Amino acid sequence: MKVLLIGANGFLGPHVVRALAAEHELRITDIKPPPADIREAFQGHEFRDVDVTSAEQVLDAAGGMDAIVNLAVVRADPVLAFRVNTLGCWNVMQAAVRQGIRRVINTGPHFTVAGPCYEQWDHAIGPDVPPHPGTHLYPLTKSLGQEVCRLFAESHDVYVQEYLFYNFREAKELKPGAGGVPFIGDPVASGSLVSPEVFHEFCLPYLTQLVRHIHRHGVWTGLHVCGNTARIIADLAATGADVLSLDEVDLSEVRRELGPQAVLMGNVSTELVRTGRPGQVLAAARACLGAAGPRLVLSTACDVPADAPEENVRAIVEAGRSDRSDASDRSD
Amino acid sequence: MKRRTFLQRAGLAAGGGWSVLAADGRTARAAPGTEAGESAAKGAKPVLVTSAANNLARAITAGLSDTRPVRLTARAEVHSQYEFFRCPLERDALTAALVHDVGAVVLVDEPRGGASLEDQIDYRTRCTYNLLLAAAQKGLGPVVYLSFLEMMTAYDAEYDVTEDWRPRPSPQSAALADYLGECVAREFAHERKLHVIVLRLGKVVRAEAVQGQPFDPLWVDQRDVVQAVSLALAAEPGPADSAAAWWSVFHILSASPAARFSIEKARRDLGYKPQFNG
Repeated sequence: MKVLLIGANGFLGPHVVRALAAEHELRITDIKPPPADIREAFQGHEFRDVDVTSAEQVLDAAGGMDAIVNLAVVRADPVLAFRVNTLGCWNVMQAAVRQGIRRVINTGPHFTVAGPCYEQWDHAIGPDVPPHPGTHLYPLTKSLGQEVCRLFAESHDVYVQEYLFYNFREAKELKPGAGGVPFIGDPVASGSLVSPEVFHEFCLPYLTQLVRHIHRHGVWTGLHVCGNTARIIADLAATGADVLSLDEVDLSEVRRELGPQAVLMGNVSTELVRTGRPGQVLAAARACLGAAGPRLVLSTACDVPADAPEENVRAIVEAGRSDRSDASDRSD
Repeated sequence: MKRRTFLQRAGLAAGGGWSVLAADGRTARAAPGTEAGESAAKGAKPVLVTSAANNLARAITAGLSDTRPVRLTARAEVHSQYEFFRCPLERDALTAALVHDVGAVVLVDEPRGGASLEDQIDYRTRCTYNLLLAAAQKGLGPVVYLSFLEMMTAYDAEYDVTEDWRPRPSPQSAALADYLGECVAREFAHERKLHVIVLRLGKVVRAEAVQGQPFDPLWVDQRDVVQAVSLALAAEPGPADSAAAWWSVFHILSASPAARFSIEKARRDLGYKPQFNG
């Protein structure tokens, strides 16, 4: 298949080139030149300068192609974000229709669907919910572009797949000590919603599979299950996850059950972080440190609320730093 | 010389005043041309009306100016008897200054003759975004976004399409720009609690200009549009826990039985009473 890649020389593009080059004829386009290793390794494919904001350039680049993959993105520029993320999609879809291309893949972040309005109040948001990206420039402009694609797909013979991504990391960043730990989040498996028996039968085997898959890549993984997990602590540990992120549980009880070597994470009340005073958050954070002892990743019980006052988040950081200072003093 | 009332200026009546009735029947504000009305106008913050070169914007300005000060804006210079503030609606201090002291905004689209669809999309998304961002930062409202019913015409005419139906604009028409602008405004309503009222208009005409022509089910008289805008500006947000608290959409047409879409919601919730019904 002849595939047009737009915005192919950014973060994601080279990976797509490597994945597709063996089986497809690629037209690799961007306003930036390709990485030297990509140009060297894939000389048999075509490289072209194309600006997605130019309808003429996109139309011309789409000539003779069977599919288009749109990887173009601008995140922060108040003018280019609209021109690339929204109008760029319009140019891509116009080109697809006019060139008779029936397959388009468009890309964007997951929060083009689930912005703050969802993430503050809901869990387990799927891609089929009505999009509410919020008013931040990047997700909103990307969401508008997705809407353009959807409307073209409804009115023309074009099949569009929207790929919504979470957080990208290079494989080399996913090594122990690299600073990033992939987390498995399972918000509906908690004791607040399902019984331990249900968790054991329907959640544990699959969470364990995920953990093993991540471990095969040689990196740590964390596991977070929202809500009250007091009755499944042993099961959570049995998944093999390296870090257990805990919500509505007593850290001292968990420490007693799992022992001093388990790495725990949490669990300053999310609601307190959102609505409490900095002094209260500081006290709660210190209580977590006291309850869990060493090998605690001090954190909120669940996600940091989008509208959490900055001073409350800083209070958690302060608690952690002062605890570390105390530990240093003790070691002296 | 006796000052002409809103109705006289709009050609709707030879004399007398008028008053807007809120949904519960109470008078919403003082009648223009009265002492109370003039006092209210003096104390009121101006309404910002965009796209000053658009005839509809001018008609809205004329209609509102009896009861409150109005400020016009456009991206290019426009000569007007009203206060005019040229602003390209970029994300900058100029746009912030534009809304610094206004009480409400009416977002009118720019004249479309000659403008490419890309330019229309850019204006209705990016410029709307910049203006609403500035408005949200100032905490002002309401914002009345003028959109068009063309985005609903893809549905079969046999269906009773209401404001709850999902828009289906053609992606190769100006309706796409209008719709994407609605999407931008919707997010500001939901996340930033900006009170946004969308008025989806039919084809805006003057009754005298189309007299004798076959009736078009999408016609709406310009003066009725002005009425709808005035009513929308007076509307209060819904209860905080209701879905319509900060975001509402109304279809605005004539009241002709042959009208393409029902105006029942606008009648009920805004008190909309079109005067020119074919």
